[in-house]
Amino acid sequence: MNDNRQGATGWPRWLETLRPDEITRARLKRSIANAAAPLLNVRQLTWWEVASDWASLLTPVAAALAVLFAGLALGDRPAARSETTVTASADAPRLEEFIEWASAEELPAAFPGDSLTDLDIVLTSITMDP
Amino acid sequence: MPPVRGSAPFAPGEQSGETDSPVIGRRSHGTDVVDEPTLVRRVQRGDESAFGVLVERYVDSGYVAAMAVLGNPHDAEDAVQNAFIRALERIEQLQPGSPFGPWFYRVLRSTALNLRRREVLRSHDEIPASASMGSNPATELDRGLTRDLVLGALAELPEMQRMAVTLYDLEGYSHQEIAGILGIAVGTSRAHVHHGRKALRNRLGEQSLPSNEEERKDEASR
Repeated sequence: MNDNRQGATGWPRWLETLRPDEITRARLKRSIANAAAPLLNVRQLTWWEVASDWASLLTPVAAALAVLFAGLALGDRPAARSETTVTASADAPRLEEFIEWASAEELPAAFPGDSLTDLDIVLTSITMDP
Repeated sequence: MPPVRGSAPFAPGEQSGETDSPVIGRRSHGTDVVDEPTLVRRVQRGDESAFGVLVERYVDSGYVAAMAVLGNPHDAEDAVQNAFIRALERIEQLQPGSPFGPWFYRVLRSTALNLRRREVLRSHDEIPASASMGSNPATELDRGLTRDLVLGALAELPEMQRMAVTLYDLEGYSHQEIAGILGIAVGTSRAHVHHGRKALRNRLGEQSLPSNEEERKDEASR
């Protein structure tokens, strides 16, 4: 191919006429770069980034579940306690009976005499709310 | 090692770096520091700069091929942009070790034909009246060729001939490669290039394209 048919860049001259000018080329490259950026960013995610993304997505869900279960647990406790109280109050002996029993009870021989000398200690321990 | 973010593969207005060999035959790209299969592998891993190198290599020739098919600059730009994005989306489909070029031209041709088929093309005539876009009139007068003249000559060829002769002269592809890109037989590619060149020679003048004798020598060398 002689020089008449060959452009400065090595393309045949008839094709050179179709070549984009600098402005067109720059515009084209910019638009390709803009359109490709989201695709390339998606590709660039490593397994760690993917895991982090999932973790950050799941964190609010986990927090919501924690709050839910905590609420359920706290909601259950007063009900259970009130049942216990009702049961205990129904079967519990009166305080006077305790005092009588305690007075009438003899100390076991195995216990040292000074360990339970004070009746108040016994009564206090019995009447204390756990 | 994960790819580096924030590299700047596309510098608008940057020179294409084409230092093509003046001989007929496969064109060598000036940016061939890294071979294409390696670049493709890097793009498949999400390397932005590798994609930038491929864009740099094929933006000009892709535009010219799209111009040959579509006949006007606006649609050619759309086709090239869409083709690069489609190529990026489907880069995983490219077999390891395969060159990017022939596959890209297949994507580009398909994109250009889809553009035309869907009638997304703007309301231009296939051959634009204006020759002023993207060219220097003085230089073109020196050459004795204008964009209008070339597009007018190309418009008279069937689409397959247009693409075959463009790829043959643009990239220096062999008939086997052109046949692969266009999905035709090797002999058909040879016929398309021969008839296409003959028609272009008649329209553009003997000086614009190789003579029959030169064409035969050229074919033998590929």
